Amino acid sequence: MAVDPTKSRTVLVIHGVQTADDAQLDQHVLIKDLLQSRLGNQPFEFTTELYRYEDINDAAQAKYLRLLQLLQYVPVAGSLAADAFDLVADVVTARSDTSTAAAIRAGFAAKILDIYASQHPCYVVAHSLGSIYAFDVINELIQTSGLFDRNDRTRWPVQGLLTLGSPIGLPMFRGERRWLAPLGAGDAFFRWVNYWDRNDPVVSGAILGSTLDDYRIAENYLTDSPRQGWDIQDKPLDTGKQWLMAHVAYWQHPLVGDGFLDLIMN
Amino acid sequence: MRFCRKHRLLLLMLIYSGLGFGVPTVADIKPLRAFFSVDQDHIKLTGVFFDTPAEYGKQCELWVDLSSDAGAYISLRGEYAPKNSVGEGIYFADAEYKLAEVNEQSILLSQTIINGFGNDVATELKISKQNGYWLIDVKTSRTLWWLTDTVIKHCKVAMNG
Repeated sequence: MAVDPTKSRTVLVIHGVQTADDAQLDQHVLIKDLLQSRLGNQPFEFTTELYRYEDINDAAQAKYLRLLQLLQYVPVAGSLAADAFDLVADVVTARSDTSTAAAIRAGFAAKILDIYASQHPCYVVAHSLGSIYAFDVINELIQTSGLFDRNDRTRWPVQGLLTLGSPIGLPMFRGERRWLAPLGAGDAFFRWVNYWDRNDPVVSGAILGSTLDDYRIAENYLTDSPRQGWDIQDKPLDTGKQWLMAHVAYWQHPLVGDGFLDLIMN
Repeated sequence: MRFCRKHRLLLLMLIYSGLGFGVPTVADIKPLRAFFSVDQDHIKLTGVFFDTPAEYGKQCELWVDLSSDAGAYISLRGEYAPKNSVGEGIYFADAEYKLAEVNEQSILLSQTIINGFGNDVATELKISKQNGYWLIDVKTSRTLWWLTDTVIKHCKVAMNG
């Protein structure tokens, strides 16, 4: 099995924290619209797919959802808190060592390997909490025998990673993820581009959504080891949005579209 | 105006003093090495969870890395943890930690990694020796904004591996 670089790219999206259920998710459509708007008339073949896991996730958070339902009986608290509550509950309870998290990762890995079997080059776009799952799964695949030969990109089930509004810098996620799986000796680099809005409270963890400057996030994983094989870039954005609106503004931002096209076309 | 900006900057520095994954400290890990009675830097022992929520599985591992101050940690890792995760525990380089108790029979460590107001992870790790077993208790509280989620795990590991 090997990737055929002449085949069209497949963009696999893994969503982040949500108030919606699986049936209402459409981030693969959003990224498709963004890429097409940046391409203009330039011919480039790609398809987009979405890996959904919110229904699995919500089942694991029953106690918080019950509390959310109670909050909704209080008119002011309910209307203000509903979206933020679901988001916070998703992030805080997203322990990576539960059977739920393992099931989400296994499903995502299976989806990636399905695309690999079809020989289409696969690029992962991960938003918010989805970036944690993407990080874990890609690192697991790199450690899987027979995959990710550094000198043969046709053996890479994922060709590149784009993360948007990732909380990977927060201690609750960064603490136990202390390193990246190295690709070993060779010349090729696995590219990871991490976009973050300077006002995004999920990235900073700041409840007031304070603006951050010069904040290294993904790049903190870079080491001097020539065997690491990762090319990582943090790219700050200013979407012009505040607080939670900044967290969901990536899908329409032209710089994200241009940066992603650079990742998948070059 | 200048006065206000200065104080705002100071306040922001205080709030975000934990950003960048904590301030590295010099960890005195000698008492820990003595407690584990080992010469090697790495220990990985497999055991079983008890009195722990079922979603964390049955199998647990005690991971101890005393290789250097910068990378040292003691952690508890469950069977569902991702391959690249070292598990939950005390990461000596990430923030200050307290060695609240250390004697021949047990150690108690605690650490709070603060990433700004309403955003921290507090961990208590106790390891006791009992009848040829390590008993490991880990309590982790993750706080984001107004919500704190606390999980307590217990693991029993045979000392002879």
